[in-house]
Amino acid sequence: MSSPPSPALGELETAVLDVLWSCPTALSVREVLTHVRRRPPLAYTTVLTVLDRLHGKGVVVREKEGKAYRYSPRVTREAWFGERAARALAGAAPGRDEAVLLAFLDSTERVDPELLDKLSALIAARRGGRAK
Amino acid sequence: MTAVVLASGAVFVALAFAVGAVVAGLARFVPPSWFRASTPWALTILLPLACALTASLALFLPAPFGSCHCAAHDHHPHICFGHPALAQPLLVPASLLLAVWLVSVLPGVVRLAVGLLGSFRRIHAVRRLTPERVGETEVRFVDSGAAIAFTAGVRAPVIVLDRALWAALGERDREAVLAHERGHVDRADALTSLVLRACLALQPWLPWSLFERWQHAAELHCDRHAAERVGDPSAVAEALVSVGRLRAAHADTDPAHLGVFGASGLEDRVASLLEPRSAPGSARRNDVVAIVLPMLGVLALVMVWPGDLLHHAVETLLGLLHH
Repeated sequence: MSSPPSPALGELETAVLDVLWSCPTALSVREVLTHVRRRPPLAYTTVLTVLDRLHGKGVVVREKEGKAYRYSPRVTREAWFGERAARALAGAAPGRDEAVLLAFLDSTERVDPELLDKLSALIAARRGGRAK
Repeated sequence: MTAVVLASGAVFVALAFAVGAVVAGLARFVPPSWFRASTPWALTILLPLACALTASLALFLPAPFGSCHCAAHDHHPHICFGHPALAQPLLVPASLLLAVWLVSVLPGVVRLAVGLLGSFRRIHAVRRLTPERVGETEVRFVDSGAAIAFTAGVRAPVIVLDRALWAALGERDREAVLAHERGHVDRADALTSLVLRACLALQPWLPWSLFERWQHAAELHCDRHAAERVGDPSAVAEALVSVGRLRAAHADTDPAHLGVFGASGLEDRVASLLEPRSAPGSARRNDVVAIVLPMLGVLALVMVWPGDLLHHAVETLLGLLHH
């Protein structure tokens, strides 16, 4: 299943997401509120706002149950952190920033469209020459 | 006793610097087209340390099968555990040299160690993604929003591919990308990269371009490896251009990060694939193993066969410098 790239989350959003990850079933706002351990305790409306924001970012899915929504994470904890880690690794310069990473194409490689056109023409010419 | 240890350490630093200066000086005049294999470039970084280690050990552990010659010479300081007092004149200069070296390498070593901790944490997180099999190869697909394909990790390297990149590539391109990454895994390039980075951190006087040249040569080897697997070098060249086009859509390159090859890196890789005579073979051996094993042999030979010769030569050199 394809999902949108994992966006950056605030501390409160991460705490709420942690609660959703720790429960096997979808949770209501009130259930999330009882599980979040914060000092001072969060207000119901704060949790509602955070869950709404997470839904807007595509991080959680919600389903209607009566008048309220129940929320569950879109991806597992492993997938979430794995995707973020992969993005961090991919954004680094192999060798300079990441000593144990080899990229197919260096992330710092300046890829000029004109150069790509020139290389494509070169490959096509070589193929044409071989076909003759 | 302290003077013996410090003198051996100082010889290590001085020789690494001297050999490194010669190697870096020579490398500046080597055109990129001369050495396209990765092993010579790994050697430029490992050789100064290997020479320094050999001389330092010869000094530290003189003539394991011979006898002490301290009484036979009086024209140079003696580094000998049997007569530690004879090394006393070297205590101050050796301490100063080692202090300067430690201060200069410390920032780089700390930066590398901190970076590695972060890398290993991120790779551990990536490894926990559900693995998927593409042919015989196990890969991790991610929705990264960038056209990425890379291999990361030392002990059990993991191949990571962006799902959107994978979907956008044709069958031949996919085969080429995967074979290229398999090449990095087979050659244990991440291990070599780590060893070379550690050696560079200990030799801050060596230019970074030596590492970049090794990195570029390693890519050429893996391109060639992919070409052999796919059976068509042009297909690998096309895959490079395809990924380049997808990358161009996300280009936000900081010019300050461009390496020694800059824009010519991709061009050179494509040209090497189209001109097989200018490309290195698909060497699958690991560069560190290829260099370190013969070096250990040389080290053992130096320690056993000439015995006291190297020890005495370094002592004489120290005497010349000291007086």
